[in-house]
Amino acid sequence: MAKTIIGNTIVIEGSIEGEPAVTVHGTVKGKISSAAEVNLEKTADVEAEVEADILQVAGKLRGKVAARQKVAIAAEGKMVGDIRAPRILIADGAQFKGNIDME
Amino acid sequence: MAKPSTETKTEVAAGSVVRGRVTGAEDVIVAGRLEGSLELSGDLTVQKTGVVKANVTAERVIVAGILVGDVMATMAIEITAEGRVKGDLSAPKVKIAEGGRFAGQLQIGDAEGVERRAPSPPRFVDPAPADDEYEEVEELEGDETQAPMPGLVAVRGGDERRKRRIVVKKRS
Repeated sequence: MAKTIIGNTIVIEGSIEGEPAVTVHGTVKGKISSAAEVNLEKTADVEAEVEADILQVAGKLRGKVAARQKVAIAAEGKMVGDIRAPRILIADGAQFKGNIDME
Repeated sequence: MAKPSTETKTEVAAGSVVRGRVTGAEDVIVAGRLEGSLELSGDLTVQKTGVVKANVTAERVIVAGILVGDVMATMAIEITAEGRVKGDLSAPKVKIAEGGRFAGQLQIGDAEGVERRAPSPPRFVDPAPADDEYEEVEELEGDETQAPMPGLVAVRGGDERRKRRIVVKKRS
């Protein structure tokens, strides 16, 4: 299935919603919701509420996050906000500030 | 340090809905939905499955799906045979393919001088040989009954050139 890709020069003030996976290289302010994976790449700057099956953060993320399967913050990732997910992975070097709920 | 991404394409997949204000400096392909506004220094392609409900500013806009909103393109707008567009369009070049549907105002180029342009000045034929023995007459081909007009004649382009010819006749 095709995925939604937001390039690194793109700025979205609003929302991205739907079934397909979402990969963000650019800037999103608002909301991201996917029935599949959401990948925030190294150049991503996201200030949003994120809902996904799997969330991977390699860029900057501020906001509340809920994942049905897993949240992974890569070594380059910087996140401020609350995470709710059954599995959480924070790599060595990653920055994180917020609450975690794994219930 | 975050390096600029090598990923230059932006694509809204079928099933995805983007709402709000979108700006950027790259090409955007919409196969899903985009609602709000879009301001690009790049091209927008609305694919067959794509629906865009937004005012759009871009370099080129190609619509094979549905676009509702005003479009200002700095280079060109194209509506393909499957494309449907409702709104006002403005671009230096606009192409609407046979089968493409469009409702709204259309402005192609700035249309400067179209209304006030004077007819192009007639091109005068040098009345050579300037000899009293000869006179120049204008004949209409296929209409020999018309009296030939002596003197200086203007040659105009287009259909008239096919009909008229200048002949130099010796005075009788």
